[in-house]
Amino acid sequence: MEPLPQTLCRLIEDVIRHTRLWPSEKRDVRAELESHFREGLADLVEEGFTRERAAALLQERFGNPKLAAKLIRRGKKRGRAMMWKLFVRVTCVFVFLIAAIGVYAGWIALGRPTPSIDYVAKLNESLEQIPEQDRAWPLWREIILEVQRQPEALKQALKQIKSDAYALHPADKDWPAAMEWLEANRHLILQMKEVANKPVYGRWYGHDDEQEFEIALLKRDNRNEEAAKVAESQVDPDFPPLISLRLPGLRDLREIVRLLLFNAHVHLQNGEWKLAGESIDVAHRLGWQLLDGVTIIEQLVGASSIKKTAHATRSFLYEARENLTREQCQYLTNNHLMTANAEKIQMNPDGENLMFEDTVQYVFTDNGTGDGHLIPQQFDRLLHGIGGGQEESSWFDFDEARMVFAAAIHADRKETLAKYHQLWDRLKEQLRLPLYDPDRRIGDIIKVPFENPVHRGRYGLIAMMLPTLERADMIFREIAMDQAATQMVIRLLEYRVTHGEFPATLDALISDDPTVVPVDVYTGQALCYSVNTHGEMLLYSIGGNFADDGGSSEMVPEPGRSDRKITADIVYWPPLSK
Amino acid sequence: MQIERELLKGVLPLAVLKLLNRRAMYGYELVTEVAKQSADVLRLGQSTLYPLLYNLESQGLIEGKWQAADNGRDRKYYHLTDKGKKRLERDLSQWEALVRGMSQLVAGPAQGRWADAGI
Repeated sequence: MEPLPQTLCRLIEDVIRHTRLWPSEKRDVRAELESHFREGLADLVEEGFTRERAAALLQERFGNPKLAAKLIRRGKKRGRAMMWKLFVRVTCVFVFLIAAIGVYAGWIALGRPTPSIDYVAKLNESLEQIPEQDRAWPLWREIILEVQRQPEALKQALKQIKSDAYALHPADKDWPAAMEWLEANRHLILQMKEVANKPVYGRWYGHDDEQEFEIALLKRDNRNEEAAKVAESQVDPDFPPLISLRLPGLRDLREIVRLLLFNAHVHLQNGEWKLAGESIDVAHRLGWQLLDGVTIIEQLVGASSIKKTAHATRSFLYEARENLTREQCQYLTNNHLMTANAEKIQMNPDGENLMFEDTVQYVFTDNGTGDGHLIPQQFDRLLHGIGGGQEESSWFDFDEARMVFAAAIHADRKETLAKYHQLWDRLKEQLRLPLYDPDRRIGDIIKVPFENPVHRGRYGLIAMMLPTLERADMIFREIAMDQAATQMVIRLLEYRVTHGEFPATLDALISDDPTVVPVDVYTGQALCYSVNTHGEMLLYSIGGNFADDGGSSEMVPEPGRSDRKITADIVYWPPLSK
Repeated sequence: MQIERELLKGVLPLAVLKLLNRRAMYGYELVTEVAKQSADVLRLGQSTLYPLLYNLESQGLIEGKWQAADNGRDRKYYHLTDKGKKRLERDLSQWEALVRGMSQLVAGPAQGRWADAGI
């Protein structure tokens, strides 16, 4: 067959190129156009035109090749299979969704926090009225920087016997190490007495202040590399360290309590009851000061120090029980341990609420109406506790990514705050109920942020920040009971010194002062008390298993917590060796 | 006479279906026949021919098939499908109704009465 003239071939190519059809469709269209022009050429040549003239005419009559290509493309696409059309539509929808998600993700990822309230200043508000000389913390800070910590070997040895240094005796192999530790710090003990008498804990919360103190602590312990790292780290204005994450020195205060109790123990070994009593007094006052802290963690450290002091005191008294004198009892009667009101050992959550609101303003944007969306990278930093230079996490954690993603999708600033305060209001009502009240459902309320995957995303921040209040509340109540029980023990021992034996019942003490009998927080009744045939008293609470086991200290599973064990009863007298 | 493009738009597909109803034709043949059979009133542009055929094909009204002609050239002949025949019937009746209506409109009401009276 004679080839088509070049002009028509070029025209055909032009049209085909502009159709942008599939190859098979292009072949079809090319074949058809070639056939069309062959027919046209034959027709016009038959009419008398030359081949070249015919080609020119056909080209002219064809019209705009681009327009033709466009129309051909449209027509051919309409003829494509239904499945193909469906696939294209679905793909377009999918691409649109991906793009929309991408834009949304970009929008939320680019969000920046715009904190507007200085919550640190709010936390410090109450301190502004307090004269500097009434604040204990600045002096504790100085002492902490100077105090020699327990040598590691001694620490490990005490871990083995699951007790503190005051459980050691001169014949024990670790006694010399403990004494060395005490002697290294003896010059500070007088200062501690002065500081413990200050009326207010008075810790001033401030980011720069805490960082400087942290660096000093690290240098004190010869951890110079870590100190340098902290010093180099810049406080990110978008994410300053949260108060609860940076409280350097708390551990050292606990160690100071241990030091003081060991000091009391040493004095007792030497028959120096007055000095022992003073040391116990200082330890107890320190714990009491910490109850002033705005964070629950500080309050817990304070409560724990009070408990440790009370337990140590009972241990000392137990050792000396056969030879106690009235005078010795007096040292303790005048002690802060005896005079402090146990009912004031309570948790104060107000600081936690402020810290949560502070966290919200760093983790959410603010659209000016109190609402905003969660900023994924800020939430992620919070997950790692990043603030002022802590290390980043490992490369990728799927569970964490899922949590951040869920929070980014579901969390909303206004709703988060509203839900948090709603939960707190319900918790406060519940916290007023005694431990033995069957209507106490704190655990159920705390579970709300975890109820389902949507909640876990929507209330992820609450889930992270809400303290384990049920446990904290139980601890505070137990420690208050511990304090009251210790006061009762001292009164009972004083009674025995005076009357030659323990009273048959606690009624003998009630007649003087009805409020002296400590209440068991697990029953609402008086603590269990008895005197055996050998004249030895037993004083205990039925404990967290809500069952009277006759004063047993056997370890039993905690109700509702198979992974945790508690003593069947909480025995105050005779005290456990621990 | 040059007919407005918008008027041609609805007419040309009908014209093609009508021609294909008589017998199968190939593309170039359709162009010439449309002009010839309509006394040159309707002109199917060569660049609009194939888009029109592809549209009708996508609607299932016509089908194309390659055949070798006597002169040795291959041609793609289009014929009407059953669906195309039904569409033609429908469109033709609509067209006839349209023509009647327009004729009456153009003739005017009085003339229409006179026409009814056989005058």
